[in-house]
Amino acid sequence: MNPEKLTLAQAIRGLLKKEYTPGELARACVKAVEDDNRRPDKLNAIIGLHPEKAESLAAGLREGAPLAGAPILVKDNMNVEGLPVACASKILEGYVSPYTGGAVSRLIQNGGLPFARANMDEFAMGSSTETSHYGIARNPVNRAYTPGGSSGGSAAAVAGGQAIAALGSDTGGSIRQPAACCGIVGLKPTYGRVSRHGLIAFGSSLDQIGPITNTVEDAAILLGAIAGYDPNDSTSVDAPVPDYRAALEASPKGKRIGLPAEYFSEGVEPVVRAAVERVVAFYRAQGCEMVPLSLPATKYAIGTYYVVATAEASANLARFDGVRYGRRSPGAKDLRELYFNSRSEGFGLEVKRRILLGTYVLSSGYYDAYYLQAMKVRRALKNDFDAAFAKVDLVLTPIMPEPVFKIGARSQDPIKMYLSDIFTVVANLVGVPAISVPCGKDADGLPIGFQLIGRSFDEAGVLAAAHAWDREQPR
Amino acid sequence: MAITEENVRHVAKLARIRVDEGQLQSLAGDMAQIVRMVDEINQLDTRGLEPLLSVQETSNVMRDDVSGPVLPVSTIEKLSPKFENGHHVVPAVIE
Repeated sequence: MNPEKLTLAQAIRGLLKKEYTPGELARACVKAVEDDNRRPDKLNAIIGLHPEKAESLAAGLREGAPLAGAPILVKDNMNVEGLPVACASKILEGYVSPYTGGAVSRLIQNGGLPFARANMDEFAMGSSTETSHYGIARNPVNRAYTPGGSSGGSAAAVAGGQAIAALGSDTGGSIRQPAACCGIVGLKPTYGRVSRHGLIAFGSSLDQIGPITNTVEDAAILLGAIAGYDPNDSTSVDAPVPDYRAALEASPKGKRIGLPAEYFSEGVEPVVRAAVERVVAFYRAQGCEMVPLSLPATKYAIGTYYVVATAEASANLARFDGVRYGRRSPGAKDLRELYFNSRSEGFGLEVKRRILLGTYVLSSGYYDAYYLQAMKVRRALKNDFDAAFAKVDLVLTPIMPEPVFKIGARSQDPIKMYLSDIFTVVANLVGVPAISVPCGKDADGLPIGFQLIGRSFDEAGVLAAAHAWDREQPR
Repeated sequence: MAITEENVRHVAKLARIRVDEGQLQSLAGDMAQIVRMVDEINQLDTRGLEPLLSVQETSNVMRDDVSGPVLPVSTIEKLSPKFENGHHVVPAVIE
């Protein structure tokens, strides 16, 4: 079989009908990767192939497991017992995970089998998958362009036919933005919907694991396989997991969809605006009520995000010191030098920049002006959304103000790179679920995506509305 | 607030990251730009707004005070850069 055109729903059907085995499907994906790796402009979406892991897990596959043994690509920041995990960083080179995290454990119980690890920006810090220690990843639609980031490997592999579906993680847009760049679907669940246990932490109050898939239906299937309470993550929420796939059939008719003025401003390029306006027209034709909105604190969101995310990162990444695991710099004379050398040699430039910024905003004399103020602005952002969701069921926005950018176009300009996330960070700061769905192409044929944001724990409503659009699109 | 090379040197020391003198200028320049962008958050009047520390605003989660499974020492040893007699080994701390 050819994994290239296979959706997760189709793969599950094929597995249940025994048209192929989980091992055969995993090997077919591996072959697609190996073939592509011979090209000088390889996608480099996958940095570790482990079909033997999928095959050994397939032996223990539970009868009736909903994913039926489908191979699933896992981002290189999730612990899977016996597999390396490095966050695409030199500092974790050679590290092999001694345990499987909560979301991946649930995935395996539900018949989803990790078979490979996806490339990413180092420690998920980036919007283009250009900061990986394992080299840049490319966009399968046009290899001169980035696949977005930080889950760019997950998105490029699924869009490029090297994986049927993937898990990514999203701290400020890292699932949704690469999915949009590669022309596929990405869902960031509500904070607390999916366990973060075993996800190497970046911004602990923002991080969520979620699906990156070819279709909205696949996202619903994969979310159902990873969502749920985990006592090992005290921020995961003990709430029932609905049947997301069954919920897809709900008609969007009568739904009120908010269009926030701040996301359709001057800065949005005409080609993006036109693509998203076609989606607006579609929902209107489906009988939705389109409601103009204002979310006035939005203009402070990107600044707030870069305070919160870097502050949390500077604390989280303090654990990488070369003492207990990971790479230790050889030859240090004393403990202090061991810390300095291991961290300075092990972290790349962008990671260092963010650790330093996070240390700065938390340091004496600056804490009130930055960290405390950011927490208050975060409250204002949440108040905006609480007020909006009193009036509407969903909020619709573009994913990025501009089309996909070329490799190298922003890598020397951190501010420009950070602004790639301007429309996605709010869902993380507020904790609400948000999905990215393709809605057109620019003049160069690069995909454009729109975003639907929902109320906390209303993934079912977000998915159903997204599915109404997605199922009408040609493939 | 402007960020200076001296600020960068100071936080780098706190974060145990070495910044070479050659890198310092460009790093300080980048960080100054980022801090200028971040400074916009101070334009919002936040009087009367409580800091939002967690989006769920749940109270502290307690677990039963019973020990669970832990990693065997042999696994910890395998992951350790240097391990002897049940201990991680680091260079001398005391002269």
